[in-house]
Amino acid sequence: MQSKIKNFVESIVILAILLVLIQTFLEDYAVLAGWSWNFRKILIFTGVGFDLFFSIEFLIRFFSALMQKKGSIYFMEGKGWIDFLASIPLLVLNSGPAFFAIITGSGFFFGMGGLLNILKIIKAIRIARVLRLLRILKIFRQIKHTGSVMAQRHVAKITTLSITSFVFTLLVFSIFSSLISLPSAEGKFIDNQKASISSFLENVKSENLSLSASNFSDYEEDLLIIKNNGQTIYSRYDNPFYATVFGPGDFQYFKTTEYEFFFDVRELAQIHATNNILFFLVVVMSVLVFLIYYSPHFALTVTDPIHVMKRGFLETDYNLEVEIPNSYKNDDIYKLGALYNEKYLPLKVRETDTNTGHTNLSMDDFEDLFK
Amino acid sequence: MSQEEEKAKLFVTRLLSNPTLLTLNPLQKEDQIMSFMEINADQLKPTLSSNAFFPGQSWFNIHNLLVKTLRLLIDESLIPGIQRQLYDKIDFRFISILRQQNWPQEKIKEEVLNFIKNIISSPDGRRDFSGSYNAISRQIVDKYINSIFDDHSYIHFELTKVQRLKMSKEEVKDMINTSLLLRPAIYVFSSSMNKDSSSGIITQNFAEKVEESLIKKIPSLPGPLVKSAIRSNLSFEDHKYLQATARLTSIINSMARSFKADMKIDRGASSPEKSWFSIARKNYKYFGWDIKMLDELFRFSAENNW
Repeated sequence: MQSKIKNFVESIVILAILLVLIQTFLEDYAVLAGWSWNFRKILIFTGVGFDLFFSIEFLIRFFSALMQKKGSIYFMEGKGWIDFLASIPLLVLNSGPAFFAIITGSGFFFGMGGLLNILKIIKAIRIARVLRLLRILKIFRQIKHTGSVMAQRHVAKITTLSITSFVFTLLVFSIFSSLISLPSAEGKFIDNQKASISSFLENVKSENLSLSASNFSDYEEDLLIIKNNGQTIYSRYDNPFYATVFGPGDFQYFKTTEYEFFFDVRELAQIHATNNILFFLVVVMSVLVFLIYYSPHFALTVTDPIHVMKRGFLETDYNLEVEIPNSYKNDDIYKLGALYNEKYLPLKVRETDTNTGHTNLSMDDFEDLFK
Repeated sequence: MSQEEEKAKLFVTRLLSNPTLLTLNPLQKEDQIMSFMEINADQLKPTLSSNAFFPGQSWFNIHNLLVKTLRLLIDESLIPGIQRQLYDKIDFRFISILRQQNWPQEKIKEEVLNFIKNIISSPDGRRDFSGSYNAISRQIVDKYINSIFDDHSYIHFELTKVQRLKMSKEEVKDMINTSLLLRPAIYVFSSSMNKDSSSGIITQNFAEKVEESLIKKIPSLPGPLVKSAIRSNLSFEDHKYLQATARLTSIINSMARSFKADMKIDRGASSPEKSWFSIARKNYKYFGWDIKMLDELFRFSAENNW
């Protein structure tokens, strides 16, 4: 009964992993495709739900392991660190703040120009979400190509290492480039807007305010709204349009003593979304290549010959040779296989041919022999 | 049937019904169960000696009873199987070619069947016959002779030019199949013969005596067939003029003895027959086989993934 419940919960976790992959992709695709804010808002909410679910899952697994004094084993060997990185940091740094911003109705976390660098870090950390992909290994374990634990471990290891390296490189690079202000599209965009604002502030001293605003809007295509002491003096679209299309992350906000400026940054968000989708596809492709190509290759060239030799050692009437592919004949495993074929099997055949009394039947094969 | 025989039959039937034995031929099943009883004697003894089974009997007696029962049960399926092989799978017209005269096939088949019953009355004869039985059941001779006749290489030359068999491909198959059936005749004429117990090889003197006795027993059998069958127990290493059919009989009998129909071929392993021939090429001196024949048969098995 307990194992049935456990299997049921594991199935839900696996389903959640598959769904979160789709959700991760859709969240970026929605930005790229210009989906309405309401739809994107739902995706952000589901993202919080998934992160919360995986955070709870991690905490349950971790504390359960701690209770059994196996906390470090779960965290290190059981790949609990992946569970951790793909849950709590995302909830705290990414989906949680986004959710908070939406429900409080403020664009605090999104529109504040001064917090741009922090936001970039948060966006970079969001990439850690792809670590969740590693949990696909748990699904693939059930449709493995071979019963070999070694093959599973090696494929899981190489997949984990490569994906983690990729994700951490992206993460560290993003944080680092933000801290030292490397040239970026985002930085260039902000610099341009600041220059435009300065120019507008200069012009407004000598021109009519509404004329300056109109000229500014003609010149600056991304300008959405200008406010003067809280009064809207220019707006490119009407309010229902803003409510339908724009989310908190789709505009940039600047404030001077008298004026407030809102700029359209959806194009910038689309560049980020494109990058995110690219990273996502790289990770998905890497995992698929490891599982679909490398895993069978490992099984064919390492575990299969070992399995054949093991059966030959264990079973008296199993005398099949190890098939040695010409292209791999210099591999250590096939050199061993050649020795097994050339030396061991001929001796074994001589030995078993002279001695009768070999059988693969054992007492365990009979349930009620004496009934 | 006594109560003890009834119990023995029940016990052996239970052993025989084990699913792991399902795909084996009757003699392979017998071999497996005999070995099982030997290996697990210490565990079987206390229970089988108890009141529920054979009270007051020594293990020696119990074992003998079980073995006797096992053989009886095996023979129930084995003998009809041999009959089918003789009557349905082998055409004895080749005998007329060898003898240069017509001979009633039914009579030969009857004599051969009775003689095989003699062969399988000895434990060693049964063991050796297992390979012959398997080879004919699985039509191993047929597929290799087809390849030999298609290929026209060493073995074909040995059969047609050296041994000078003026027969069709089908007749050669029948001759080798019959040779396989008669090969264990050596166990009928002596149970403690001049035989190297490790490699299964006998001496020429002994072979000649067996040939004489066999021809006396079944006069309808032509000399070349008897020689092919009996001399398949000789080593090619010591007798370079051994008939090609005898050499083939020896190889095929040994190969078929280890043949298992349901064998799971793991990924990364060579096919069973290819593996067998490859190993046999390394053991050819020990078992007295013709290495050139093995090379050719290995090639056929590799090419056809047998």
